[in-house]
Amino acid sequence: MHIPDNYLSPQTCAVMAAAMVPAWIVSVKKVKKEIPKEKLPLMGVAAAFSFISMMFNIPIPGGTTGHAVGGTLIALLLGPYAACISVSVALLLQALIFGDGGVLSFGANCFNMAFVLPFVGYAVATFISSRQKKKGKHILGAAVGSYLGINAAALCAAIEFGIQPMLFRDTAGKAMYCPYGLNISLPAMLIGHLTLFGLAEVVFTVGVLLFVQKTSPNLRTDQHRSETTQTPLPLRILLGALVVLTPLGLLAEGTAWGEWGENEIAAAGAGFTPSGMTSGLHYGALLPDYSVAGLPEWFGYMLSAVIGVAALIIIFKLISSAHRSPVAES
Amino acid sequence: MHFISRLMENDAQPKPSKILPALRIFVCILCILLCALAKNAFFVVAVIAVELLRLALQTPNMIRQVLKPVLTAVFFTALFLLPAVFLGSPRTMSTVTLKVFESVLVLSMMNATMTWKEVTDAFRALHAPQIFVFVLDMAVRFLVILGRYSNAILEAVSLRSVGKTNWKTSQTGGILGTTFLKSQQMSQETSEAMACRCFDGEYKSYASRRFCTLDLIYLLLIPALIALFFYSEWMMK
Amino acid sequence: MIQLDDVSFSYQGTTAVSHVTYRFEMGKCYVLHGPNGCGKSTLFRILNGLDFPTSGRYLLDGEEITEKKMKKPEFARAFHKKIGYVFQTSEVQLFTKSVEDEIAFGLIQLGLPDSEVQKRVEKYIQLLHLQPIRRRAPFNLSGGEKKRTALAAVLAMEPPVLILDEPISGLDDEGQEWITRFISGMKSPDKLMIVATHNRTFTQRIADVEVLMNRDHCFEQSRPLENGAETEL
Repeated sequence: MHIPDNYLSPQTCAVMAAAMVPAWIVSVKKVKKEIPKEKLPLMGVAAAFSFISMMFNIPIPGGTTGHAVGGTLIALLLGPYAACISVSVALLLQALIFGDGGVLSFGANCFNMAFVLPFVGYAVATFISSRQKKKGKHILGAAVGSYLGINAAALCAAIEFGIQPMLFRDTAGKAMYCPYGLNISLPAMLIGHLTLFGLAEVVFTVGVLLFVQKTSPNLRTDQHRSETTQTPLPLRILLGALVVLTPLGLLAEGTAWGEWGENEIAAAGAGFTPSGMTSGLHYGALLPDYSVAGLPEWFGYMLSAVIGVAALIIIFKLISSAHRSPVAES
Repeated sequence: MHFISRLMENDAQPKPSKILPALRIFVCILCILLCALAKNAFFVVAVIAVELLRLALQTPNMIRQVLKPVLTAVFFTALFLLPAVFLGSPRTMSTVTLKVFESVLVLSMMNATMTWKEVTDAFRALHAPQIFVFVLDMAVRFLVILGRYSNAILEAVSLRSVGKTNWKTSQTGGILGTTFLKSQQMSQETSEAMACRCFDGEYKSYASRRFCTLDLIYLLLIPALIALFFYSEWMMK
Repeated sequence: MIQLDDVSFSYQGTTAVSHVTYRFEMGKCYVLHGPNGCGKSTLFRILNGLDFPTSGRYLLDGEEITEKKMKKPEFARAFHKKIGYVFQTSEVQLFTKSVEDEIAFGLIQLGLPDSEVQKRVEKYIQLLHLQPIRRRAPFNLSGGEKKRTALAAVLAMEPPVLILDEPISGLDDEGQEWITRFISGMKSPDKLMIVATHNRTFTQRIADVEVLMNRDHCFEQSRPLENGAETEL
């Protein structure tokens, strides 16, 4: 669901970024207030999980791929504001280092995956679990919440894509950015996410949630502050296992809808390369598409996973060391 | 004073490593050397990945301590190499910056995860010149003691001064001078104390660690790194 | 056994030690008293082979100690093996990175095998109650801990002659008591101890012979003490 550069006009990008600024500010404030310093590194781990989940590409018929995001999962474990920050940082890392998602479109990507997704997911999940009385209500809530969350995000992305041809045309009347209108973008994005990708999100969310409940039940935000500052070992093992398994994500050939490179888009059905793409921003990421030049793809992918996970954990540990805990010592 | 408190901190909580220090230093130096020679980004990126992973497992404070020099070095390197981008070879900037990142990261990690004793023991084991090791050993101790001494003098001067102290015209020269004289006196006294304990100029050491199985496994890293290096170079062709 | 034959020491016109003749016997603990500036420290430096008499002779076990002889490493090593000196300020004599290393230092310089070094390190750590701080850096220790470390480092070399310069200065009551008891306990027929102190009580507790040095930089009198009671010569 990562929107690359030059698919959205600079104006759209600016608007989306502007929309995210208050969301970020509020999230940061809330996190400072509600999350104790010792738990901040957990946000790094959560961001790492989200990052990893986005490396497991799933194919659907039609030749495109998609992936889970894990935003609702984080929201349920650490709160929606923490989820917003964690996913945003993961997306930032992906955009800057791996070229996954554009630099200008960072605001839009965050809006979809770091704002809409976790908040919708969280709202739905808590709503459902508060209305249910039977056991396992949390899981049901998580399942429905994550499903609706990712689809809400997909809907937003589809709209952002779809309005481009309407609003931004060059003098010849051709679309400057994304060439597909709403009539194409909506079904293209939603079909995948309503089916397989939504399912993937549900499976990922529920799976990890169950794992956490079983192995480290005191991780949830409504519990008392945990004594330990270390990430529980089972979680570490799970993360490690996922890192090792990332090359599986390469098995799905094909590029996700809306994530084509500028050389792919003409062949993908548009028939032409929109002018905004040829003359737009071309950011050279360090490890583009999670690969290292000259290396077998799977190795580069796994190395990228290692770097991404390590970097996210480091970033949040650094934040925690700079942060003064607002909660008084008990 | 900040630096001294960090030195003292390092000494007060030794974290003995399970691997022979000399071996670790050797592997670190080998890593840096191979990365410098590498023509392919692969080796460098692989080393960075492993070091970042190790770093992610440390405490937040240690991470900060390790990253400070790394980020400084990278920032300045990138700054100096910025002209390369404008001159049409951005590759140069990214390659060199990446290598600098890797070297400083490896060194910084080594520095943070080994106690001072281990570092000097390692140099000894690697047959660095005796005098080098001796000076290193003494330097830390003198730094701490003299730091405390000059601190004490500073306090005394502040207590004796009335009003705001203008350091330009005040006793800074006197303080430094006194500290210098004190350091001379101390070194004289220390050498006498050492002579009294039968030191005759040759700095003997003690085999503080024996080679064990864990070290053997770690030793395998050396051929592994070299193999990886050649593999990555071959892949470029 | 230490013999001083009309030993004098002057430096740049100032006399620090003036015509001292004395004999220190093995098996006894001598306490040297004197006002500040009487030359005690200089005398100790001579006894330690750090300075040499400008006139007179210093003999250790019948052999004269001269500057020329001390320039030879084997002679110097044999000499320092016999004399253990604990400085007044511990700061200068603690120069390694941990208490264990400090104790081991002298032993390694003596060329003892590692097993023997380890054994003695353990023994003296136990003896001087240094287990809790054995890995700490000496310059981070408290006054009392530093004194004990310095003492352990010197004692570990098992010298027959022990010279202690103000061993209880700067210590609190508990520390002083501890050192006093320890030193009393160390007395034996094959050890010679020479201690400098200003403290009367300490002297009473440990001295076999009290030696007074006066402002004229010579020995005024020496009286053996028995069971803490003073007896005139």
